[in-house]
Amino acid sequence: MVKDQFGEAVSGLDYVLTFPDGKKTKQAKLAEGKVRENGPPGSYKFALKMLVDAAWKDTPLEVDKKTTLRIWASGYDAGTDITIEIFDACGLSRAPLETLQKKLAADYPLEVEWTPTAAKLEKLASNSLIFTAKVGTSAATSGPALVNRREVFEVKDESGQPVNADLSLWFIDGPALATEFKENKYEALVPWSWRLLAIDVSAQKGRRAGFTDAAGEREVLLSG
Amino acid sequence: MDPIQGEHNKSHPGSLTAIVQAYWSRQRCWAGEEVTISVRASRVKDSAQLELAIFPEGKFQNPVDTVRGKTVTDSKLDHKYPLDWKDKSYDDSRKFVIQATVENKLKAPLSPVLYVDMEPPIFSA
Repeated sequence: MVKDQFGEAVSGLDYVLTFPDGKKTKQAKLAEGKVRENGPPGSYKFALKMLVDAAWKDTPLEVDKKTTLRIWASGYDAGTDITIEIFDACGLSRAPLETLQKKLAADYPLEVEWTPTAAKLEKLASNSLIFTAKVGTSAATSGPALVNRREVFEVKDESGQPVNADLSLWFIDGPALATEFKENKYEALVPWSWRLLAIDVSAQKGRRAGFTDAAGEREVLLSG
Repeated sequence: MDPIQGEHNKSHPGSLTAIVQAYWSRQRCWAGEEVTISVRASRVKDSAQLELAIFPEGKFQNPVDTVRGKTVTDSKLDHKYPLDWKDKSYDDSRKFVIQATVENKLKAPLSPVLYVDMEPPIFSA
């Protein structure tokens, strides 16, 4: 008897029943939570055909860093086609950012490696991704995963020498979540859509400084 | 769900967990704009009745609005929703979340926040 979390019998889901001799049923649906098949006495194995869960293995995600999409399934044969669509968390009703066609493995979960690149995220308006896995009419949707990008800042003096300055980075939505100083460079992980607003360099307050980012070269007033 | 194994003509209990999630199509918008509320479900039957209650973040006593009579088809719903709240009460709230409920019992986690700009911007001289 198969029931849902509210104690009600489940109907309409495809299942596969493995007989004592290893033979399997084809094209059968659960009715009122029950299975009725004619067969010899013995031990049977029953599995519903469905995608059970979909989850990001590593979160938060980082641009250009490989991640793993993990999908649990039951009842399907190895080699069954599975479609994975990756969406902007604010764009589920729009076209996916990327579609992956894979085949289910003999052992679950299925793990699919994927790398979020700047080109793939060009239309990402929010800071989070979601993926949906589908086999036939069965679907599983992951939770949202934050996408960060790594920004590197290097402070140099007029002669081009690195300066070990005390630096704070402010983005439109807030301060950098984490800033690390190594080899004369500041590395900050910031959510995908955040844009740089100001750089605090206490020791250099009031001076103007050249600044280069993806939008090109510009000049900023240093504050502190 | 792991396969159930056992003798014939005996009852072997198994359980399924249905899941539902709700999302806004925007992170921020103006009052009066149309947004889409997306619901994604797993193991929820087609035609299941859905209720979408919109609450100010952190204030879950009275919803600003409730959408009823929608159903999940093929494990999803994309419902276009105009933020026409002239006659609604939302106090001084600007951040809103969706609480999706299936068949009056299965509750989704709260959606991410939608920030709604209620007044036109004021520019300095």
